[in-house]
Amino acid sequence: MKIFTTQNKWFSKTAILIVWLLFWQFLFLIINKEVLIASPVHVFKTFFSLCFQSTFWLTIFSSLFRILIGYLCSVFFGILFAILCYRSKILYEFFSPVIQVMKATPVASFSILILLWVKTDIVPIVISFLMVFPSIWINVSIGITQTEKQYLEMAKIYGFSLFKTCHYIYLPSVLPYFISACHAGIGMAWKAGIAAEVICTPSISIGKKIYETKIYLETSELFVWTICAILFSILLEKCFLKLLHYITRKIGIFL
Amino acid sequence: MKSNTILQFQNVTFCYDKPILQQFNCSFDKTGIFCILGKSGCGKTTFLKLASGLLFPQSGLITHHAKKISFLFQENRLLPWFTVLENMLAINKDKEYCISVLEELGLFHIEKKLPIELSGGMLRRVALARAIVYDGDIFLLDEPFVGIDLEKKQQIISFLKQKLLHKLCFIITHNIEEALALSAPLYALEKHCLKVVSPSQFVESLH
Repeated sequence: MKIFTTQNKWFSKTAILIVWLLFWQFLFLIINKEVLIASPVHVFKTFFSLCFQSTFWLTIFSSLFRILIGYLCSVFFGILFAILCYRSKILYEFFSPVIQVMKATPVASFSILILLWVKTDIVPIVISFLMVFPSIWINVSIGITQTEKQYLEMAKIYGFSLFKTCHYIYLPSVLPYFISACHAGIGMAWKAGIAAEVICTPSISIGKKIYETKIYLETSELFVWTICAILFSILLEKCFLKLLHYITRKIGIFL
Repeated sequence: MKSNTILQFQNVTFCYDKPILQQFNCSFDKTGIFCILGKSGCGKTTFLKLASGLLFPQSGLITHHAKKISFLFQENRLLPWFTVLENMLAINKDKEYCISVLEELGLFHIEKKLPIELSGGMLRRVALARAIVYDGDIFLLDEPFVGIDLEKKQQIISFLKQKLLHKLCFIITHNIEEALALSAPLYALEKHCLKVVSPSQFVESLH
């Protein structure tokens, strides 16, 4: 029974994909201008031709590497600052306006500003960090403050150490907020990182390739790089969430 | 405080919006089970929280010689993201002892279950088991028999009477049958002291 359900799920997903591909083809036939919209067939042909070039993978992995570094730094520092700000009200008041500014500042402004300070290769790392850090900080802070006071009282009565209180109470309370921030953050880091690459054009990057497609009006290549960016964003998101769930199970937390 | 006094309240005053305890005094130098009663909102839970150190009085002194205090809260406060056994092991690492206490309270083969999978009565017994395995010198049990059926209640009462013989234990209850089954002295909580009452006064005080 379960096999049939799984099969049905795959069947419906494939059917939906085919419908969207047909819709794309239909749009192409109506517009009929390669510069405005590339045909699915042409895009797939371009994709397969690029696939066998080593520079294609090098470009993808260098962008992936930069964005991942920025993202991981934002996760680490987001957690660290959320804990510090929970411990100190003054620190919280001090950082709150900075976080608000970071949340509202456009990627373009940040990219150009940071470009004045660091090398082009570093800009996407900093931008990914700046875009995700506020979300991790806010969510972890909410998770910590929303921790049930009743459980903390129980921990006090039963003589839990700080480590034990963190493991048994704070960590499981914060995890749902943290996971949801990580989930949203990966897409954000990826989008902001590539936007920064388009603006700063580091030597080997998806952003530079996208920028070049604009110069040479290579719409099909633009589609290929965009599809790659989407696919790798989904892949990264799935891998990271799987890893988080694996870790939570390992430490015996059932969310 | 006398050397053999286990728990003492000296001129304790505690207020929320209105005064709960005023110049409150009481002293216990014997082990055993004591039932505390009183109308809702008269400060029974506050009394337990003050005794445990979760609340601090605005004035007066609370002293005790206990190294550990077992507190069964009005709410079960079991950690929902851990299994029953993990909830117990967080308090006492002795797995066999934890399981044996669960079994004494009529809970079999539930160690791997999550709190959400248990009924209200079972959750209450797990919370009680957790308080027992902590093995405090003073036991503060806030309505421990809520949601537990009569047959199980009898079994738990005899277990508690035997287990807590050499501990100081306060049990809050609104049920005269529970209080009589525990064969414990009955106390009514008043603003200034704990007053010894008879079973008939106990019933009257609930109305």
